[in-house]
Amino acid sequence: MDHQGHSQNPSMGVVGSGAQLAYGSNPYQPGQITGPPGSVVTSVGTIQSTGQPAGAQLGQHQLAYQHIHQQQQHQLQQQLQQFWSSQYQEIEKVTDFKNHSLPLARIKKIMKADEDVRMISAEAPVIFARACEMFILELTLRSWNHTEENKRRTLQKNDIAAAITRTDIFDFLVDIVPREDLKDEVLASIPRGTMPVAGPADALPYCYMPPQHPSQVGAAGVIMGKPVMDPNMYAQQ
Amino acid sequence: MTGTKRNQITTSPVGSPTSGNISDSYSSKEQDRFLPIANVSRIMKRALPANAKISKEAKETVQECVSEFISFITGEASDKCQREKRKTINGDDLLWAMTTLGFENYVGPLKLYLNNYRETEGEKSSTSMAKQEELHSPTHQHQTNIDGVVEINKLLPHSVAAATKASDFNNTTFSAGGFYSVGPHQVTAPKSFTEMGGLNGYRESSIAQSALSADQIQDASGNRMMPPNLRYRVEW
Repeated sequence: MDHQGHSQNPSMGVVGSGAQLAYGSNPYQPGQITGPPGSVVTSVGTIQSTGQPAGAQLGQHQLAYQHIHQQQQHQLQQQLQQFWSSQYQEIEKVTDFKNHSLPLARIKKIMKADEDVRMISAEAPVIFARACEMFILELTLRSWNHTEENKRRTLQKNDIAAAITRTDIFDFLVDIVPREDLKDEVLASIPRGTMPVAGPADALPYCYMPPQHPSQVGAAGVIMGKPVMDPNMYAQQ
Repeated sequence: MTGTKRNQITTSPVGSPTSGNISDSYSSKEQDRFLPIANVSRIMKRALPANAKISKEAKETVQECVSEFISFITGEASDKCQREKRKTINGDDLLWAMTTLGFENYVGPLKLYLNNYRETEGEKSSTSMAKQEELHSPTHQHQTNIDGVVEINKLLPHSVAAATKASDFNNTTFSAGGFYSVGPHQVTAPKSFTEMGGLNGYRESSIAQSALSADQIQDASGNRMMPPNLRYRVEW
C-alpha cells in the first residue's frame, strides 16, 4: 500500500499533503479521469464511485486546498530562510557570553545524564545554549504553521507532533509525542471540511488498519518533509 | 494566561534512551531533566506572532524535545570522542555531531558563535576594561570636568528645591541671573569669565552648606539672588 502510494507521487506531481490527498481521492479516480483508471484500479474504488457532478466539485475543492496548502508551505520556507539568515546577524552582535537565555548548569546536567559522557569542556554548554535556542525557534515556527492551517491562535501539542512528523531531522523526537497526537495530525492533513461525503469513508480505512499508523505517518513525514529539506537531502546523498 | 508559572511538571513518556539513560533519568529530580519552562516559553514566543498563545501542554512537550535534542547530539559527540580516545567533549565535537545528524543549518551560525566566544574568553582583560567604560557612559554629564559633574549633580536637587520655594519674582531673577552672568552691569568678556570662576567657588560654598538645616539652605538660596551678597562672598 505504501509503496503504491509512493510510486504515484511523481506522476501526480504534488508534494506535501498532496500525497495524502492523492491517497484519499484514489477511489474516485475511475469515475473522473480516463487515464488514471487504466493504471489504478481497485475494488474499493469501484465500490466508492459516485456521480460526475459530485466528483467534479470534490476535484475543485481538492485543487483549492492543495493551492492553499502550497502557499502555506512556501510561506513557511520563506520564514525559515529568514530565520537562518537572521541567526548570523544576531550572533554577530553577541559580545557577552555570560548571560544566556538558558542555564548552563542545567544543560551540563542533561549532558551528564549519559553514562558514557565523561568530561565536558566549558565551551560545550555555551554552544548548546545557542543551539537549543535555535532548535526551539525552528520547532515552534514549524508547529505554528500547523496551528494556522487549522485556523487556531493557540499552539497545541498536536501542532508540535505535526511538525515532528513533517520534518526529517526531528525523527528522533517521534517517541516523545503519543500516538494519539500523531493520529490527530494524520486526520488534520485530510481536508474533511471540503470533503463531507468522503469524510466517513476516509476515516474507516484508518480504523481498519491500526498497525499501519506508524508506517503511514512515517511515509507522510518523509514526503511532507521533502520539499523543505530537498537541498540538504541532495547534498547528503 | 498573561504570566508564565513554574508549575510541577507532570510525568510523561520519556523518549527512547537506553536502559542506562532511563535509570539515570528516574534517579534525577524532575526539574533537572528539563530546561526551565519559563526560559523555553520565552524563546517560543519569539517565533510566534504577538497575539499567539501557547498551551501548557505544548510548552512541556518542547521541554522534553529540547532535552532529547541535547542527549541526541551529546551521544553522537561522545561516541566520536571514544573512537578517538579523547575524554573531553568540546565545541567542535558538538558541531560535528550536528552535521552528522542532519542539523547542518545550525552549524554555520554556531561556528561563528564559537569563534566569537573563544576570542572573548581569550581577552578577558579587554572585556573587563569594556565593562569599566560602560560604567562611565550612563553618567549624565553637564561639563567635561568630572569634578564639576559631581558638583552639579549634587547641586541640582537644591536648586530645584529653591526654585519651587521661590516666588515668581525670585524665580525670574534666578533665571535672569543664570549660572553664567551676575547682572546687567557685568557685560565684558574677561570679567564674565572671572565671574564664572566666582560662581564655581560659590557653588562649592553652597555645597558645603548643603549639610545645614533646611532653613539655612533656604537662606543660602536667598542670598544667591542678591548681587551685593554675591560680591561679598566672592571677596571673602
